[in-house]
Amino acid sequence: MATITIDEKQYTVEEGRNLIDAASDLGIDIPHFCYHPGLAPDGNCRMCLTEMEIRPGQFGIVTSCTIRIKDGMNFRFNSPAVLDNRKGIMEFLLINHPLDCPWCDQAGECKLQDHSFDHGRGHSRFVETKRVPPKKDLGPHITLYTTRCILCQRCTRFCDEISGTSELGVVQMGSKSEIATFEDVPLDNKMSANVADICPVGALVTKDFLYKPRIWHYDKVDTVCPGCATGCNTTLETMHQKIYRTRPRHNEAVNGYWMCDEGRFCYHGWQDADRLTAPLKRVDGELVQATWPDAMDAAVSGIRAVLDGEGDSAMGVVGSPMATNEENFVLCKLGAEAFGSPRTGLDRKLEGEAWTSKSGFHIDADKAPNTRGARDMLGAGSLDDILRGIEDGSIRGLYLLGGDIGRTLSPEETAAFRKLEFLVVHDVHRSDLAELADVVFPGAIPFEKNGTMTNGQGRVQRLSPAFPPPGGAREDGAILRYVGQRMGADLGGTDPAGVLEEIAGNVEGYAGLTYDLIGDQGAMTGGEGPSEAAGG
Amino acid sequence: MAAPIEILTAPLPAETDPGDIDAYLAGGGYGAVRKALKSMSQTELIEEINASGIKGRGGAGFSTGMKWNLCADRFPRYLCANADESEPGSFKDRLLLESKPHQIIEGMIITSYALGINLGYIYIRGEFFQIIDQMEAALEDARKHGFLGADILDTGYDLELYVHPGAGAYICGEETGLIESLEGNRPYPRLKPPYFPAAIGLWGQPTIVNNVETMAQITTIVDMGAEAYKQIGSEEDTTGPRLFGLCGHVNKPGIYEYDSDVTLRELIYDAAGGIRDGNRLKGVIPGGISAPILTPEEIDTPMGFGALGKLGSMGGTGGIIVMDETTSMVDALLNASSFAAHESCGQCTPCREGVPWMNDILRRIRNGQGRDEDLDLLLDVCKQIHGHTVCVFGQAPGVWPVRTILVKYWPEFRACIERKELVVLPLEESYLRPDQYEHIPPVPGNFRLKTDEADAAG
Repeated sequence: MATITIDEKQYTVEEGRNLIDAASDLGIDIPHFCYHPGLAPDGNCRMCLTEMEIRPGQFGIVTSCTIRIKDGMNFRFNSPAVLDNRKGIMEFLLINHPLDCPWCDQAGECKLQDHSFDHGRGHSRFVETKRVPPKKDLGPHITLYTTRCILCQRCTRFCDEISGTSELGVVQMGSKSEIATFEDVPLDNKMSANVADICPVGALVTKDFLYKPRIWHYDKVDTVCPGCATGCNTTLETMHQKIYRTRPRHNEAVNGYWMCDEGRFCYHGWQDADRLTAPLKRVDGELVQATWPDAMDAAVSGIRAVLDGEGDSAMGVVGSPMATNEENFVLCKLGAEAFGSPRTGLDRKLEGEAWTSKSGFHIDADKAPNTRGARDMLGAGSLDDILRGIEDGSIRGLYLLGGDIGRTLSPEETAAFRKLEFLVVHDVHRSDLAELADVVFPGAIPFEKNGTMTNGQGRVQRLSPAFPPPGGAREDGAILRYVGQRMGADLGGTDPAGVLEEIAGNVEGYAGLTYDLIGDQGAMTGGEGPSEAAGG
Repeated sequence: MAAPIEILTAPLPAETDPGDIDAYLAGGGYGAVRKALKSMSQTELIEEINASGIKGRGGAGFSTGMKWNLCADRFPRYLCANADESEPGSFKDRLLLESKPHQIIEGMIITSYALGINLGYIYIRGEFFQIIDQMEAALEDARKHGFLGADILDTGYDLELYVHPGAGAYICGEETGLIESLEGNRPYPRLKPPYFPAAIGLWGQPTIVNNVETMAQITTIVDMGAEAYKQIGSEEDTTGPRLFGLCGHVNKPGIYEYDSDVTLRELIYDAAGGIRDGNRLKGVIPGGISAPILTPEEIDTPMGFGALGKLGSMGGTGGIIVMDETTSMVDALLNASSFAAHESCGQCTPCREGVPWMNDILRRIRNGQGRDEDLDLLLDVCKQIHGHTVCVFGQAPGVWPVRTILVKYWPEFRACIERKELVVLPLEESYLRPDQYEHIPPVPGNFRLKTDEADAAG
């Protein structure tokens, strides 16, 4: 730790931290544009200039973003020289800025607006002609409003340091400088949309979020990306039960400040799916909409018919890597208490391409968010075990948690499921799987779930629901409890925090985990505590 | 009266090609390299350079000996000879590169030996394509004669030197911009601290960046000895011979070699044969466009770095731009400012936005659309840029010409605005006298008005 002086007051801060971050820890905001904590400092915007004592009694101008804290440093944040410089920089940045805030998508979260309000002079002395370079289409996700750009070069540094793909650079020089790509190499990498997040102004925008409602109208929910086993921490911005934008949430142990484009935009697939809003039951070979009590009656009598007999349970239960730890746990409990200890398995997951960026940001090959957690809850059983059971006739009824919009059935799976006497499925749309079922319960998509998931590293993280499931759809945990109740088993309360307590008491590696401990940064299984694993 | 000297400009033997190494050897060439490598230790060499009192000839006049002493104790170290001469009004490096390539190479070998450097670059302005070819050939000749390569002169010392063509921008001559350019990047100057080249330079290693004239002078120092060298010029101010390039409205423009005690008046009226058409002097820029202008009352100054610094100007590159009484100072400043606006690299905000803005304002004034508040606005923009930029470009060619020409020729700018057209005032009315403005040290070019008119305007 080091003791430093800021405006004649003494503070104790971490040694070696840069001045902007150290001041931020103390609640003091040093305005800046080009510095981003996830990138190496560049010192080009000159907004963060402060005065530092360089010889006894003599202060000199320094860039706060490059100053590393040492004991005894003495700063002035509010001297006339510092304040005049901020005023000057704001004026310089705005002389060629179009000031098109009324139709700029960044308005409301724009550093230029914020700092102009705090440090600008309120009127312009510029009477010359502004430069008006045309906007550019940089790649599949990103558009550059060149006029708004302040050339802080966060985006070029991101492509150099983080994605390692270096598509962006500066062309021309002086006031004609522009961010650009090579003609035949668009900004098209697996993390490209992050440049829009880190752009401090409205220059780089995602095409996805262009001309959408103002940012202050949204409800924000912190959750975890369902796109792969990395489990990037995200914030959803929603309005009227619709997601408008996903942005990465900082978690140094998981994703740093970043997320991949696939995860960022995957909400479209879920949101655009033709959702089930009422249960379905099979009547005369056709699936028809039913009320919840009707569907529940059909399910309970079907399951009872399968269970009606001596010996081992003829039911099987299949958990889902798309479902939370709590849902998979309750599913097991339902099996144990109501289905006479059936065989359990984990549904097949989707395999994709793994990719690791220059900075170590990792996209997992496992495209389900909770394979590890679901396996921890369910044990070692696989879908293949269940299919063999169906084949040899020892499993005649199946209770399956679906809910993955990307899931398609193989011919073998279809053939096996057709053999079943009774199939109950939770799903979110009329999938191949649902079409084979006798009863389909309409479940929730990951953005509607409350609970925890365990990512590929073994970090347990919390999901928060952005909104309730639509119409008659319900969270899967609630459906399982309803089934349990009708089968005469008490599966406990509906609060996921309570279920997690049960998990902590029963599942190996989860001992001691609570919602409070997990917090917004997650906690490692196996009692390792917060880990310093590579993030962004 | 000062007499011209012929050390760096010593004439070549008749009918010889400057790149001809045999002719150079016949005239005692590479004697300094032999002397340094065979009979002097590294410490002795560094002491010799320190004792000579030589100040770097790139423009800032920083002590070369001190620069060498600041070199961090890490290896490998690199040498960059800066031949990216592009300051408007300067052409002395070009003359040396064309006429004395081997003297520069000698200086680079001695410098490298003194500092334990085994790899050096000579970064030559890209537009000097003939010079680049000549220098490549000269390096090849030196290599063939065993002055470069492995085990030079059987001393066990190895050195390679390479030519690197410049990337076509003024900023490539800024020492850290040059290093970035050498590394293959955009020549954005680096932040200082921490990137002082002597500590963290090329490829992150300690690097010495010296002007090519300084390199040539190192050869001279070793040849004649520090004692003899410091007799040239004045030990209190600037030692050694200096090359002055006179251009503009003089009768005999060209390079003239004098010691630094020569006055500006002598250079203009004696060396360069006075001003064209018998006109009177209006202003003179003493060391490349960045050096703050001097009015006719100020030209009796010696040309040492210190003496010019006392006037709020600077020695700069020794490129002297002479302007006679027919010159519009508004036009002259617009020209200087256009250069700065075009050459600003665009890395940091104040220079990228502020310098072109000043250019726009000046163009408006020149076109008769100036407003009363424009002159104060210009001074205020200067203040907003000064000291707030990554490198010294923002202030040297960016701010200093505006601040000095504007302040010293205030009446001409006022007249332009009042009469709404380009005006050249009669000489006596066009500029302020030294008691009407003041220089605020230590920075050059930091001038402010102290006249009644300034109060009225302010």
